[in-house]
Amino acid sequence: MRRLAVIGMGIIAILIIIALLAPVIATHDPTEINLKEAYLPPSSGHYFGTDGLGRDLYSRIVYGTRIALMIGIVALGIATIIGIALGSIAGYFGGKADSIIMRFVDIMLCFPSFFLILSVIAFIGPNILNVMIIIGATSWMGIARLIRAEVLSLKSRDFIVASRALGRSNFYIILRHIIPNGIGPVLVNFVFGVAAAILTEVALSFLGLGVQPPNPSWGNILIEGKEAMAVCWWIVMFPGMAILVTVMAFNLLGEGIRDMLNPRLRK
Amino acid sequence: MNILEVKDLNISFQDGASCKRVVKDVCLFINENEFVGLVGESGSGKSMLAYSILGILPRAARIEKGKILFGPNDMCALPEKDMRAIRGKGISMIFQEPFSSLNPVLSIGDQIGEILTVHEGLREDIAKRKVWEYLDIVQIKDPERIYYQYPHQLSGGQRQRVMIAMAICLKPKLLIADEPTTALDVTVQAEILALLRKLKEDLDMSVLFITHDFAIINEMVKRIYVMKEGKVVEEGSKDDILRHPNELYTQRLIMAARNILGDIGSGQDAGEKYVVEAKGLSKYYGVERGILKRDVKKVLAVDNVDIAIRERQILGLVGQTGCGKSTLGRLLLGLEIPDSGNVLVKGKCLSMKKRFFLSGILQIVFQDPYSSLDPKMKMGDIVLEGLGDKRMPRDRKDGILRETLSKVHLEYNEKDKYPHQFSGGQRQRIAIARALAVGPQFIVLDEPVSSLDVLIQQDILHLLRDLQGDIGMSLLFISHDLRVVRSFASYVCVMHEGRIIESGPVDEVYENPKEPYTKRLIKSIPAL
Repeated sequence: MRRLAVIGMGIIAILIIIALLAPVIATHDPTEINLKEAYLPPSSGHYFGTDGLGRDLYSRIVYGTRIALMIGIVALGIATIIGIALGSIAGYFGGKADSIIMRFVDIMLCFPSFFLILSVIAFIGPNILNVMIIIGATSWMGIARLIRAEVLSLKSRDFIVASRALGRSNFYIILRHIIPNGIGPVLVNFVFGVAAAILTEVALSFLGLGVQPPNPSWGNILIEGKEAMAVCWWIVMFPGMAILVTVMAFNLLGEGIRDMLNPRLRK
Repeated sequence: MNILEVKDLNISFQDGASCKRVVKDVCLFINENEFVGLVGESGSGKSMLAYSILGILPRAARIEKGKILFGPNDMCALPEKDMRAIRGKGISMIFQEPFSSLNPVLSIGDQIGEILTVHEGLREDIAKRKVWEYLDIVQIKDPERIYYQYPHQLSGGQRQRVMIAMAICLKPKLLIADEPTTALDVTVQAEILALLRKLKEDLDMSVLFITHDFAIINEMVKRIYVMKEGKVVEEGSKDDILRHPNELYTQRLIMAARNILGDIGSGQDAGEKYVVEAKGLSKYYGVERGILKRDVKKVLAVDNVDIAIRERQILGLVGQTGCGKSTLGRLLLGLEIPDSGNVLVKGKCLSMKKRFFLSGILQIVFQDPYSSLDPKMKMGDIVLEGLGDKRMPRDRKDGILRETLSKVHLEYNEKDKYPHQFSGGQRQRIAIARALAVGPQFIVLDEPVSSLDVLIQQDILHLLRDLQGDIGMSLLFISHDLRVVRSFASYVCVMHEGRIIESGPVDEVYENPKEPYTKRLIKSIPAL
């Protein structure tokens, strides 16, 4: 169990290094078009071959790592901050604040989130920033529910009452006692959420509403290769592999953290 | 003739890579129709010994050597199939926590009836009549009604009676009772003990009674084994052991049961002025229903209570679970808002707005030191939490920490450890230090020793008394344990269903209780 989590973490570390060092690792400019070299199979000049416009696939996938990780992490960062803030307010103060926030959560959960994302993107226009914000703004509800439940069970614990007896403010108690103790499940959710956000971005790009060309994202590399898939397997094979490995790595890590936090499985 | 003989029993417990021996060379026997006591603090291996007799040791535990002879059978060597035949019919057991030992989705009748139909092969209608009979034997009123009820609908005492009925319905030769009254209120405890004594007369069985409290088994057993760290350190007749305990450990357990705090200063005398005064204090809890969360029912937790604590006074507040004593304690500290009435702190009205400024005067220590300390904070930070973010030089804070820790006998160089690295008693010391660090004049002690081991209880009580003597703050000592209150407090209030029904100097109330409820409470204290 633990070993798989370490493997996941190793893969993520490598992906982060690739993202950071993309200009060094890439062999070509990812947007450079060279129609003379279109549809070349993998070779020593182009490790993953080229696409229909003669762009180097290897370099495009390397730069795509940047976008995938950035969208995953920033989107979930936004979702986590909204979720923690609303969830802990609902749980800690209870009463009306709780009712209003949780009903809002229920309403948000009523929308099929992918179509919500699609329609909002259609209005505000597809670009990386918008995609991150809209994914973040539609995936915080689970986190809010999670942290609310944590807060509810923590709130009645004696050390919180002791802190009130010592004259500490609500803000201090939430920040110093509740969040550090309730963060575990949120962290797990964050890691799983990153994987989901990466997949959402791929799906959006596949529909042409994600990251816009010529910026390379794994999703739009896939759709551009769709027509030539029957003859040029490498155009869909490599970005597909990249998505598979990344999502799997985050899921493995998330599962590992979840097991680590569960005292019943720890031994 | 003895029905059970344990010879040179050794049990080891596998914990990760390390192997710990929890039962060491234990020899023990029980005669027919005999009540035997097994006394020891928690962690002394007494429960492990009991589990091994029934063959229900946890997977990590292993019998290294020794024999457990029950009749002709060696329970250590018996195959699981034959062991099952002995469990229930030959040996059965009742546990400390009756709620977690009953299946919540089965009705009482089904749970007991199942045993009879499976083991005895009785027809269901005959089993049903038998169940009624046994519910009647354990003195449950209205067995026909209880038969159809579920565990959560019963009180703690009724659940324990049901457990006893389950344990005796196959007429076992040996009943093991593992702290059967520890989780119960004092009056209920007295009833269960009386029931066990009566069953001893009526039924033909032996009982191994496991406890940490000499007073509980005093009237029941003739012979006692005392266990410490896995070994039997003392055995013999009850009267001999009580009169001349050989081991210091046994002496301390007996002292704890009699609740003698020993020869320590009685603390400072109470002054004239009141630190905290409350008049007409009431608090109810609403039962909410519906989308709008309107209160549909009001439950009075504290009902029109007047209470006053003088300077340097130790006031005991006793009552059974759910009588509102904890809520009263929190109202006095301003941690809960009263629905009517008010609290005066040193003559000034306590309001929620001023709560912050009073934290230096009013403090609280809780029952469970495992939930009262933030597991993610270091010990030093926990103790200093009350000093807040006041701009105070580092070495001043350090000085306060050093001084406070030395008061509660904790090491300064352990300040960077986390709560889970301390033992239960040490954790309670940390909680006390946290309250002391702000220099309070009034501390509410909410069952401060109830979840601690017997011997550690004594240490903490001594510490609290010493601190009161040195510093001279007022204490409100909330407890359900009447023995502890008697030896600790000088003045006592008895609480029942949200009201204070009787109060006065400790000796007066204990010797001459006036209210019938108080009389019942005092009579329930197991005597030693």
